[in-house]
Amino acid sequence: MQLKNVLKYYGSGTTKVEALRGVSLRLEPGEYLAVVGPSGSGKSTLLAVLGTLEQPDGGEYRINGQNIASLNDLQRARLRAHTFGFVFQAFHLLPERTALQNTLLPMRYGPFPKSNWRRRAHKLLESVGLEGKLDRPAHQLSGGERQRVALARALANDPKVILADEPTGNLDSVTRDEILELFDRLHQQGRTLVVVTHDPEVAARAGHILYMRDGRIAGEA
Amino acid sequence: MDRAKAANLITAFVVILSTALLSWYVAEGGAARAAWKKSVAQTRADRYLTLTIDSAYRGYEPPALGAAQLRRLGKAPGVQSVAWASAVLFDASSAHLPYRLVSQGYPRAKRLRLVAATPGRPALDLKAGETLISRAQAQNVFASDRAAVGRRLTLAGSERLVAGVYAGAGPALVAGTLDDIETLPEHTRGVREVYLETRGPAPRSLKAILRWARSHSAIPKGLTLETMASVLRPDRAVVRNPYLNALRWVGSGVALAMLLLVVFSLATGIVIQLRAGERRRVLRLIWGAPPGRIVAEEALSFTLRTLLYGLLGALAGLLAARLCGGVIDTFSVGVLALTLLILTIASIIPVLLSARPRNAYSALARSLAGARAQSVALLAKLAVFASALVLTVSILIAMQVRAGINEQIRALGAGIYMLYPDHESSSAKPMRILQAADLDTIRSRWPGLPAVLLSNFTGSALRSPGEPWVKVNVRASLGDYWDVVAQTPSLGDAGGIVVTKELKRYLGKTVQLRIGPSEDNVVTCAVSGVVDAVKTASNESPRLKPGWLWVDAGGECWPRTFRAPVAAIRATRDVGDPDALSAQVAAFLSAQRPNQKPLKAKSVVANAESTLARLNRLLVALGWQLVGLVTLSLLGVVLIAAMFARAWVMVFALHRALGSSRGGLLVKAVIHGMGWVLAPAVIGAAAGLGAFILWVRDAASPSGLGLGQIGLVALLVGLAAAALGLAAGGLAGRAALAAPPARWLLREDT
Repeated sequence: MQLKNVLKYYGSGTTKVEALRGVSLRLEPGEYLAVVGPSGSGKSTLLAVLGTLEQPDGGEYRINGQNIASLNDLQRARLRAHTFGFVFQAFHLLPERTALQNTLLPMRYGPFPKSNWRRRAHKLLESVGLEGKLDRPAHQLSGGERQRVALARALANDPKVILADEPTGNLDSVTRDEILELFDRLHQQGRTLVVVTHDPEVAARAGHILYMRDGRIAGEA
Repeated sequence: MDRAKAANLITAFVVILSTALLSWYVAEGGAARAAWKKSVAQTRADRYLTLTIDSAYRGYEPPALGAAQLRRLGKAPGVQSVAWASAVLFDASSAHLPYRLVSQGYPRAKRLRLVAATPGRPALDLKAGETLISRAQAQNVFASDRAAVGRRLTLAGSERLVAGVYAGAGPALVAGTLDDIETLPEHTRGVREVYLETRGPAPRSLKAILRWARSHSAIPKGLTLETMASVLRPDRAVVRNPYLNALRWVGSGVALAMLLLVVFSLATGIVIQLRAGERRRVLRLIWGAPPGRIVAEEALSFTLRTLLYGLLGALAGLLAARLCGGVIDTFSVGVLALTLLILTIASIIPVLLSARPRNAYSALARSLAGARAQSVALLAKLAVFASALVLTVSILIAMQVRAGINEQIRALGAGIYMLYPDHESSSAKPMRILQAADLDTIRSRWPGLPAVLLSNFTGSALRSPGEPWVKVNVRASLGDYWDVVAQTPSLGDAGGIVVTKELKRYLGKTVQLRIGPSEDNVVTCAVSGVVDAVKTASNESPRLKPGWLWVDAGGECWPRTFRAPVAAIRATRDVGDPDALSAQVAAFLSAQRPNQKPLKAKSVVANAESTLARLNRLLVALGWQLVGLVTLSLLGVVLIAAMFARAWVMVFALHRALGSSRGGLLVKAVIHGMGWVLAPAVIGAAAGLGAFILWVRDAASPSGLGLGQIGLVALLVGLAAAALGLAAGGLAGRAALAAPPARWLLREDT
């Protein structure tokens, strides 16, 4: 994944906000990157651009050499389904659906045949420690359990890249550590991880840290 | 503009528009109600009952009451007096003025207005041997109203003293006794106009008197009692006509569906606004406000706003109606108060169901499930169901009623005009009798104009030799009878007796036919043809009705000289203006005999056409109502779409992140929207169809609509519903997709 001088604006005229001001970045397969910085620095926008949820307004974004700008909506959607798994701070589970149903959701867009979906969802939920709560509606789960379901859902289509936006922001410290251990495991499996965070302890677990300020990369470690 | 403001504007528009229309409508009706009340007070109609035809017997010749029944009615508990009047009579031996035999109390019961009367005697008390004549008669016969009073006229076989002159141009009123009724000619024997003066208020006495009258056989089957006040009601013409009445019910159904849609739009708009304010309420809860107080304040806010919009609409409607001559009476105010109460309740319920704040996560959860709010979902589906139902039924009834009236016009014979002596003419000239020479006159003056002389002989009888007599009515004619009625052409040459299907068993047989009640007029002739009886309840067609038979007055089955009271012509559009032509023929024939009563021309379909015209006016009004219904449905769809859009933003953003394309989500939105609208609409249309077939199809018209037409209406309603669903889903989907997914999924405050 390679970003070259990427620009991203929101709004126009006097309300125009420059969220990314020429960001260049190269991510190798299996890399564990943490993006840190103050609020409004462009971390989440960077994540959205990486996940093809937003289109750059300038510069170039390539995945495996393919320029993303040349893809249409359907092709981008397919790329997203096959390549990325998202984890959000607010979990974004469908509250009235069960853990299993939430995990099944992305599979309709992914590469696996339908006959495998349930088995795979069971396995994923077991792998995040929720084997006893498969049929429980999301709104009955604790915060940590919800984020585990979100993680299982992110893995539903066996993506190469996990993009996490403040994945531990709504969790207590014990639960946070459990989730981070799961992230470590994913990294060990060879997946690429991009984690946006305010938390230095979370960032410290990544192999590579990117500091952002005012839409630019202010430093790396 | 954000969705909450848009929802507020739409609900304000819906409430203002609906209350304005309603208030305008009720105030407009207020003028008619005020006139009715005045007329009831003037005629003391609140103290009278009258005989009307029972609804089950409408369309049949009403039975008449004989002297014995009138005597019994007079003894009914609660009845103070009985007033009656015969049909309009005419006999050649009198002054050639039409008259009615009436009871002595009849002029008082009718509250006739006298313009001249014998000085020193109660104006409306008619004594034996006296008559009241109309102003038109007085001026024709005696040159002035005053000159008529005290003069003598021969009416009903004897000389009568003119006791007074009443305003108008009606027949003379001759005081008669119950015994006189029995001496009237057979076809006019008995009376059909009866008024019962009650001891107390008529509505209170109605049931008891009716029960008593039925148990004592005082009124014949097919008649019932009704208060005079209800007979004078302004909408009575509509109520009494089955076609127009059916449409009135449809109008009520549409109004009900509109009310449901208004309530739905109001509730949905409020729910959308509540969703938008959820975060604010949660914060207030966190700051320490009691939940009950938060709900109460929201309820008060929405109720006050709804009331304000409702009052604004009502005032605007009332003002507009007042400017157009409407009257604001207690009924109008009552209806508006009830409507405002319904709207107030409709604005409180969604607040009670949705406004109670819980916690932040629950707020988010419910914003995701916004469109799944059970109360709104149910209301929306109910509104769609009701709209589809009334739309289906109203379109079908409108089509059916129009088809029914057109069919009646066809059955009666469009373009056929009857030319008959003006019985009610106030000129004191002898009645005109048409003869074969008159037919020749028409033919020579208007060659090619189909014309026929007709004469009816009720109380006739038919039998095969050796069998008992069977009662029939006979129509004899001379001229182009078959051309006029355009029945089976081959029967035009039948020559003998032609019967309707009820008498089919006589076909091919030689029968004895007694023409009229006299045993002297019996002919022996063969039954040579059968025709379909005309499918109409009206008595105005020259075509044969069930139980009638036809004899050619120019053939061998008619050995007598033919003299006819009525002629008929068929004046179609190709001869120019049919009304003008028929009037011309009548005037020409009248001028041939200036010393006889003039002939009058009347289209046999005049009544049906006037019903059709009234129906068309009602259809236009109904059309506007349906436009209102569709407008409200569209606004409802916009509100549903707004709810969907709000509920779907997050879900769609998530699906986009999970790999769905915009197009795929749009298709999903459309399918969802169609599911919401289509299912209740299809069930509603099916229910409407079922209701129509079960209760309306046969009742409102002599013949039902074809299955093809019914299917087409159902299909159109289904397609309209599908389009609405498509619009709802499409609009909501596009709105939901307009928000960039990253902004919803990655923002920190969610």
